Amino acid sequence: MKKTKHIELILITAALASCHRPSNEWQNGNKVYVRGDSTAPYSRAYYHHSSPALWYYAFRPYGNWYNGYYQRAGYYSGAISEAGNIGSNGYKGSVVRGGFGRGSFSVSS
Amino acid sequence: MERIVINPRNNWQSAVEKLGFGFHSTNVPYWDESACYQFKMDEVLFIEKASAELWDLCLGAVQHVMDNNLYHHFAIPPDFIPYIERSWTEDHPSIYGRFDLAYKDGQLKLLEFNADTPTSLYEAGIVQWFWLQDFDKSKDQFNSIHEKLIAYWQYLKNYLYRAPLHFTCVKQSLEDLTNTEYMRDCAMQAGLDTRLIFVDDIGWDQDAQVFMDMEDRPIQNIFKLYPWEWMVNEDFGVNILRDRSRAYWIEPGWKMLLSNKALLPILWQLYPECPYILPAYFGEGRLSNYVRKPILSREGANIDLVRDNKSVYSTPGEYGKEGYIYQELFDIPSFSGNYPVLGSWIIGQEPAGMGIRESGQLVTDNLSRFIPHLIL
Repeated sequence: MKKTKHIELILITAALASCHRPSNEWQNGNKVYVRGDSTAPYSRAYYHHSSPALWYYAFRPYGNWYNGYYQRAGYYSGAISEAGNIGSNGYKGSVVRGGFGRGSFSVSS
Repeated sequence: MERIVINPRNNWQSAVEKLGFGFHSTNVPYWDESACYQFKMDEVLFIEKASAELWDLCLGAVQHVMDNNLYHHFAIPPDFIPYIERSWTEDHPSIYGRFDLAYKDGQLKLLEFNADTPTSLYEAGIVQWFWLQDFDKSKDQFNSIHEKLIAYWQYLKNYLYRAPLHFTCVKQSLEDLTNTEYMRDCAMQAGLDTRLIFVDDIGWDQDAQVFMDMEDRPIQNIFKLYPWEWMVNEDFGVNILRDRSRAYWIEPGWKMLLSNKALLPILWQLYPECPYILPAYFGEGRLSNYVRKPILSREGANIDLVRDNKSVYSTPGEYGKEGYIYQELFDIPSFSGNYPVLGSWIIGQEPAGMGIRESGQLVTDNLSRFIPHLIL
């Protein structure tokens, strides 16, 4: 007998079946993250701590109440990993992306 | 080998889509279950044995190229030669490849070896297996791709760095993503910790001199459905040589010598007695019936079929700047105007199964259909 006896797929069919329900796969930290473009400068956010570091943000706003007023500190997104969400421009600047992928059509062969 | 016309399953599109096979059709059919190929077991055993032998000969060809410094035939950037040799001597992990074979009147001939980024893995391993379960589950099929992939990822686990295994492909292609995610599925079933990252999201930390994933963690093991010949010529290509993590890329660098059609004249020079290898040369003038192929090309592009020194058929494309080889013309058999090419899969250095693509003309191109098969 030359054929496989039994086949199970855990990723592709699970992704189709789950539809709008998050799968365990997504909760296990194996998310595919949206690229927060590390080559672009981040907008400055005002934050009540007096840290000299610039804090960056993306998408959904977050902020802090300060002296009775809400100050938006920036935006964040669940589609960007925590490591990519907060930090300083200095660290982010050392990682560049987009150096592969110019041949962006299918590799079909 | 016979081709028989059959009735497709009712609502076959829904059946294959439930398997996650979303690219079964474009504006022309790709997955085609209106026909199937039938083989006798002794034919399959012959194809299996020939594939095993061809794999061994290919390994010999890699060593020969290195021992005799024949890289100039392959248009490989010179800076990458030490890296390729290191990937060979350090035995960097490799998992798969696909021989494209012509089979006619009991003769089997190697047309080319897709050793770096072969596709149609999902169709061959999964879709045609499930088709057979519906069509006639009592029949056999040359297909243990799924079992062998899981088993070999389990074996390779001990040879990878103790770090996640990343999987990468281009963003825009459902076919590429399906092939990659299927590989990742098998690796997960083998117990590996995996991550998906698209190829243009791969980062390079200029300070630490390592590749980074989207969680800003170093990449140490990475399966790529993305060809070496593109990577070495891109901005990050040189970083592969600088990488302080010395990440394992799968398929490894030495596969550049097998995925390149310059392999074909090398095989002919080394093994002219092998019945599966066609005469092939780097220069014109030795053959009057031949196929001129770019050493680097995909999906049948820029192919020229020449009979009695006259071009009888050619395909367009953007390839050829790296040079050409000339392989003796072997007429693929016609089954009512359909020309099949057998894709014989090597998984973990062993023959594992077969997928058949057929075309309405002599060159298998991006309009070719995938036809399932069974063993009588």
